[in-house]
Amino acid sequence: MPDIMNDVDSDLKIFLEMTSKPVEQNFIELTKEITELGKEQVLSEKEFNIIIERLFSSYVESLANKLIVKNFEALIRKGSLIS
Amino acid sequence: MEKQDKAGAEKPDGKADHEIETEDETAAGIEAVENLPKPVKKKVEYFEMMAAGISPVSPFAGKLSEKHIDKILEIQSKQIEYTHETEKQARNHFLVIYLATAALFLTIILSLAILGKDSLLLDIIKIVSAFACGFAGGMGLKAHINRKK
Repeated sequence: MPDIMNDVDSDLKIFLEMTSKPVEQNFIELTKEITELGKEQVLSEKEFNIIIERLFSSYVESLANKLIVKNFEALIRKGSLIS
Repeated sequence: MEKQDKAGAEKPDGKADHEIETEDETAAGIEAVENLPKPVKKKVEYFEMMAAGISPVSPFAGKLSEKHIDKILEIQSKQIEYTHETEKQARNHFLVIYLATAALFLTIILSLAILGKDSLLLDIIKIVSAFACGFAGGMGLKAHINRKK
């Protein structure tokens, strides 16, 4: 289906690139990119701060999710959830 | 009344100060992301989805039309047909080989019986029985392993 490939080529590249990397690496790379945009003044200081804040809160959310999953796994292994 | 003042003054539209602030922040956040260059905007969106534990929606999803779905289904049905045909052919080949081998052994056994060569016939029957048992055992073991999987 070459027509779809042409339409989504750039989006698909980004999608595959992002999903093939862990969240930590994506966070670091994206923060670097946003910092560059801030330096180049593509973003205003306010926009820069808001985006960095959003990225950081998303990253913290992902860490919290991982922690919850780990705790659940530990509880399941111990058998606490089954009984 | 004092409690309400501490929590934040109620506005005439019923929203507290902190609610209005949160709405402003969200709107500013959306606007800031909208102003980003397209590839970076996509990256931020995908990152937020991944971080929230939501599987990012594949860029293919919004682009698929009825035609594409029809084509995908057509290819899949062709693939199923091809697999079915291959399996059928393999089954037929196995049956032909099985029948030919059985006919050959039957002919040999009958010929030896007619000619009266009992000792040779006994040896052949022993070998054929051992072979058949081994083959059946192997098939049974394979089926058992497949069932366990």
